Amino acid sequence: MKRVAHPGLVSVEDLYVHFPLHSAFMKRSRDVVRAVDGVSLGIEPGETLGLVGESGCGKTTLGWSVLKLVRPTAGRVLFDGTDLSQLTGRPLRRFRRHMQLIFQDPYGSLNPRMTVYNIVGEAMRVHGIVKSRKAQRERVASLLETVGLRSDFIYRYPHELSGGQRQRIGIARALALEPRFLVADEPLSALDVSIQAQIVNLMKDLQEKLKISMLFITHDLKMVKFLSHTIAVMYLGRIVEKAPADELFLHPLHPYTRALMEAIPVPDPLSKWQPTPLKGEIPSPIHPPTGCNFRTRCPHVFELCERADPHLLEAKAGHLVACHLVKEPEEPTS
Amino acid sequence: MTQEASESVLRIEGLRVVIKRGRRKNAVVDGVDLSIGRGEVLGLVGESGCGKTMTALSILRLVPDPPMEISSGRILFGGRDLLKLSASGIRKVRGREISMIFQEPMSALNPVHTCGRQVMEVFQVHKGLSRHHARTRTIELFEMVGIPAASTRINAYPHELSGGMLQRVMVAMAIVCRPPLIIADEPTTALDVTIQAQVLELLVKLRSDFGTSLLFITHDLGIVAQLANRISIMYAGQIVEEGPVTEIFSTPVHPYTLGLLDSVPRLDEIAEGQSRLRAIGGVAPEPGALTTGCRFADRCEFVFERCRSEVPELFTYGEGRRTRCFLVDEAATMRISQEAP
Ligand SMILES: Nc1ncnc2c1ncn2[C@@H]1O[C@H](COP(=O)(O)OP(=O)(O)OP(=O)(O)O)[C@@H](O)[C@H]1O
Ligand SMILES: Nc1ncnc2c1ncn2[C@@H]1O[C@H](COP(=O)(O)OP(=O)(O)OP(=O)(O)O)[C@@H](O)[C@H]1O
Ligand SMILES: [Mg+2]
Ligand SMILES: [Mg+2]
Repeated sequence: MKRVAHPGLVSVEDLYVHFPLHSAFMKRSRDVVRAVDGVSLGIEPGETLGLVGESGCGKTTLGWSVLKLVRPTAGRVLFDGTDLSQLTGRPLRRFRRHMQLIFQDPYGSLNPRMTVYNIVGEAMRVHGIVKSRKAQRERVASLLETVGLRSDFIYRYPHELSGGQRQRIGIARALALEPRFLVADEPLSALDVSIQAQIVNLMKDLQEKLKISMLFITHDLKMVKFLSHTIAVMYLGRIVEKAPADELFLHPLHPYTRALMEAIPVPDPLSKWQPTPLKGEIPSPIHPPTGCNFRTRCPHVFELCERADPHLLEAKAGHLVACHLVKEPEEPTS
Repeated sequence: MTQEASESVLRIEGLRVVIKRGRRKNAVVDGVDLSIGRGEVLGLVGESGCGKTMTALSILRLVPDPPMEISSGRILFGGRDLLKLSASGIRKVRGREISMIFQEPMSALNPVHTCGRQVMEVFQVHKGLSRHHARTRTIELFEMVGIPAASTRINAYPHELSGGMLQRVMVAMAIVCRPPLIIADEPTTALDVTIQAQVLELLVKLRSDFGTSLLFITHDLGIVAQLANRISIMYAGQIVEEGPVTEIFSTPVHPYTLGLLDSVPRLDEIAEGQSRLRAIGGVAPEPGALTTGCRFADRCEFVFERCRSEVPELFTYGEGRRTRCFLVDEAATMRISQEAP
């Protein structure tokens, strides 16, 4: 890479995104949804950061705000050292080309009046990557092939596709510009395991060949382990644990991370899968609990958890966790 | 848990759904037979684009027409053929006797109404509840499916909820009337595994409390293994294999099933630096493509001459197993019948 690797290609600094809330009578109440509530992260060139976490904990909102598709309430995002919030117009568009998003909701994110040819090819033409219609058609067809679709899909409209086919159009569109940074928001959720494997292999290749950096949002813990260098676990707007992928799976420290790993359904009908379900109330991002925000569901909750908010501390080299159970940095953890 | 055919709640026979293009009609669902017993969970899995959603939509007669059309078959439910009901007849079945959790919640929810209002409406229309009661019940349901701050969130519009919350709204809507059959098309893809476990538990409870049957479409073989009694595997518009879940996982026969099970990564096998996951090579043929033989032949590692010249039937053998593959016809039938007690 030409640029210095420090402080990373993407750097998120103390980011907050709060949404105003409607009351029953359509007036705005003073309550807000604390979708992202103080997140800092860095992603190096060629690094994939896996982001897992509770449904509704703010992953999509975080991804969108990194790409400047949602305006943060506070904090900033640097791309290649540039604060994107300061940019508008053409300079912003120049950056945009290098940052792409695979949307979680393919249904809502594909223009229903455009054919696949235009959905996938338009940006290439706008950015002058292809010079002729013929070149565009060839490039679109080859992109479709890499996501496992026949080239005759070029002439289809989004409503003429199955859920998983739409999802793959979203992937092809995001890859068309060979971005330097990709936010992939649940890119595999509508695909069968074989096509998942195919797409994940493709992403791995791109990672290695083009040194793409990626924020990979998923509920699939196997895929996140396979594809990520580092994994961050999010809960109620915050990062509660972050570690290198293998380390996280070997030594999960946060009780929420452990619960996640236990709840993965086992693909074997003879092995009894009985996750001890997390009891207790699922907290709301509108009125988060005092102290530790996981305490309402935590099996190990004790008196301190209600009083004090655990900070994200380095439990051991490279392994951060926010939990009162985890001892001071130097002491060995059990 | 194999069910007697007489007990079945739903029976689909010879279902064919075609896309009309000019004078050509290409089948996206091509002769599908399925049956679901009372209190049974049937897992329907298969390649993306193989026709699972269209099969499910056919049951409620919701396939997009045009360009699609149910060209033949019967769908027997509660002593009637759903395909023969009048428009108002099938409307009464929807939601009340059979409900559906749609694959893409945004396609099923109205963006200009709050989620709460849309669930309340089901209570008001189908259950005749007053506005006030409907509201209370909706909040209860939202809590049951794990939507936090339910009493506030019923005022949220679809775009204000996360993907997983919308899925839970869909689940809530589907269980309002406690219908005897729920069709769930990928209902938990946007849920983290802890909430997923909670939603699955809720569905299992409906089954044990009310004998609810479930047609569960999913790509997650872990869920199928844990939840389903039987599995049907679809490929290019047809059922290619079916049987009790334990048997399909222990002795899969159809090469597509083998490839699919082989593609499931196991958490403990994913090691640092591993660079590839296994996948089935090639792509499925286009619906309606002229094939003289087996539709999987081009991708099959066991292909032999007969597969290219003759179309395999769905062979039935053992206890409720069906496979569309000549391997069964030739050798496996003998082996399996010898092994069977
Ligand atoms: N436009 C909006 N207005 C109000 N609230 C919003 C808006 N967008 C998101 N939210 C809320 O912000 C929180 C975080 O949502 P987000 O979509 O980021 O979650 P997520 O982690 O991606 O969840 P999932 O895994 O279910 O997709 C949720 O409580 C959601 O309801
Ligand atoms: N309007 C249409 N015109 C042409 N083909 C269509 C149309 N709608 C759907 N199809 C095709 O019908 C086939 C079956 O679609 P269906 O939605 O049933 O697939 P699926 O098995 O549910 O896939 P997924 O797992 O990706 O959701 C797909 O190959 C799709 O491309
Ligand atoms: Mg999301
Ligand atoms: Mg589908």
